Amino acid sequence: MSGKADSHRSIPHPGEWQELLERSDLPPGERDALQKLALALSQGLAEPEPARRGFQAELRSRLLDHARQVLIEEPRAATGATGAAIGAAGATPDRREADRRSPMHRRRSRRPGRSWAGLAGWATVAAAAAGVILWLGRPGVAPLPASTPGQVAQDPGGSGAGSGQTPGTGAATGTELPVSPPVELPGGGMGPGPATTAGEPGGSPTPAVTAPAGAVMAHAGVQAPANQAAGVGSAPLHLTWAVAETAALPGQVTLYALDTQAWPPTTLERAARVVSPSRAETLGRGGLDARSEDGLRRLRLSPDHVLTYQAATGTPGGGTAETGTAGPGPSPGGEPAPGDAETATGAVGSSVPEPGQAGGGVVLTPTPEGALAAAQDFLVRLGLDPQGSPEAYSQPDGTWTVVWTPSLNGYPLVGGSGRMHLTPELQVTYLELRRLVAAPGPLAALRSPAEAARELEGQRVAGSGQVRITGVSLVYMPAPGQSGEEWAAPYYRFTGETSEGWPYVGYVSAVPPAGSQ
Amino acid sequence: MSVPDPVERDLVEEAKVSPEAFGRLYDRHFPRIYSYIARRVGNREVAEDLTSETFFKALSHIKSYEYTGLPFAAWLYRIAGNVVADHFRRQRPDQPLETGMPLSDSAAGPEEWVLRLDQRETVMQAVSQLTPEQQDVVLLRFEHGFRLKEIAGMCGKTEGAVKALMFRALHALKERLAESGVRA
Repeated sequence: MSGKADSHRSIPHPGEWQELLERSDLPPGERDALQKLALALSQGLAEPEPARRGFQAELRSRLLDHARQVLIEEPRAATGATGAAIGAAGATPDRREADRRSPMHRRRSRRPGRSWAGLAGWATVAAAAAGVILWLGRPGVAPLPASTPGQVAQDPGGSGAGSGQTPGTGAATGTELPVSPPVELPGGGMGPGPATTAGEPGGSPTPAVTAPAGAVMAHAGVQAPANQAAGVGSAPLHLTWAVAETAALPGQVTLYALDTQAWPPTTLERAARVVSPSRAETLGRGGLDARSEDGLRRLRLSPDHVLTYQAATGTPGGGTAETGTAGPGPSPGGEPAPGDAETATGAVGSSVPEPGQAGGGVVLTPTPEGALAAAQDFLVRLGLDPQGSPEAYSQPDGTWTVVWTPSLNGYPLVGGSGRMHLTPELQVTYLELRRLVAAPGPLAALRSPAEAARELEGQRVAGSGQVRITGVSLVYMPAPGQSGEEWAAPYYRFTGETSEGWPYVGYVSAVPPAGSQ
Repeated sequence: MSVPDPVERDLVEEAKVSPEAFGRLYDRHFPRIYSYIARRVGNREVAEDLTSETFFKALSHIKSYEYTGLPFAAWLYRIAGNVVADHFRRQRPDQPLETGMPLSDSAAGPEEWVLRLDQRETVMQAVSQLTPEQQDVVLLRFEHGFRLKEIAGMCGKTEGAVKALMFRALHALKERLAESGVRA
């Protein structure tokens, strides 16, 4: 690929450099010269430096060999090694099988005219909020001989704007989601709450999930494409409708425009000083980038007010280990850092000897309550108070995800507030928070749940594809609008069970696609 | 905030579990990353080593990559920048990157000068004498076309700081050219 083809490459327009070089103390002649120089630089550097013939292919080959090892083989080995611990916690004894990720469920075709698309990031959080992480295993999972390698990659089933990355989930102060103009939002509650199926954290099996219609849903740690690593086959979904009552669902709801508020400077300053006590320069004008002295912990504020904390993971023995789920680097020894494992007062789970571990080490199996306690402890230390109710969900690799869900108009705003990742030792490795403001917009007429559920038909789900829908609820999910704005859009959350006994959760827009009315 | 490339965002997510997808990401970004590193270090063998290191690091951290509003390339450049900085730290701190060849053409202004001869090498001789920070912003802007805001995100600086850095870089570049007999 030529660098020239990249959309970023452009020779700056002279006006841009005029702005850059606008200095009152700069003589016009010098300014012109610098502008010429800038343009000349762009032209002079236009061609990328060519690599040695063959080098690109050599490196590619080595990289892919290594990628097969770290992306496929090592995760398999890791899941097998911890099987005993999981078995002791009440799940299947054969975690090697149970830990295989749910095949990816994608729409086969993009729905034209969808007003909001790219919900994968939020759907990811939604999946977590619904207890949907990965399969914690039911006995008798029968791997099908062939899953569908590469299929997902070619599936144009979504907007792609959100492929499992959450553009700023966050939380702020208070128990109410600020609204402008004011709307009563019991932020601390969960509204109708996520439909709870057997997919609750804490040893119960977790459900398979389908992406919201028109979205691509893929997220390592929550959902993974059906590839050769999955090992469990998938099939087109066939629904059996067994919902007794949907009359309580509204025929129309208010749409809300979402915005992200700036953080109070005092809150930022306090949090920054916890991360970087000795550095006074962490707070600039409207910006924040606080790093611990050892460089292993970092608190940043993005221009759009998303507060992000990242820390490296530390092993209990003081060593370091990288995890695949959060920021790099460990918490150092010495002074306990925010998020360090020792703060995880909630690690009340049983200590289970790990037979597969050299030296007969100890594996903590914290409870969701323990993960929530650790999350809360961390937030208190930083002086942050997220919007909404927290829920903790275990991941098959032993890590935890905590999500905060505020309510909006009496319904949960799934994925709208914040999320946190913790190591199995309950060290906080990643946190994303934002302070949401919701402004009521137009009313949207909703289609019936039965009509919406038809969109689930044909999506690929793990196992034989037979799904019995037993519950439906209404939720809001953040969704980008056509002009880049963000909306809280109504979605139906369908819960049920597959014929294999796995819980199932699927999200479908409650608003009919544009042009279908 | 830059507009994300939806195709690439999908590809990145897929690359977290699929070696083949990672390979496609590599194909997409190799030329620019290699070029950036090569121009920073000015030595092909070193550039190959550091490019390898960059992509292996990217592979080992791909699962922790989170979209922050910047293009995926920005993440790669940040890794590449750190790899290059580590390389120079390992060598000798404060050592100029390369000994620039004397620039002797006094007849041409900078624009003509830049466009003359082998433009890449000539320009890089001058650029390589800038401070590492200045080199970063100049290369990211002029070679790779990132916007100032994006560069700010990549470097962990404010946009204003990057603007100032860029201004100083251009000024320094111009003076270096003038010292070498090239008048603006």
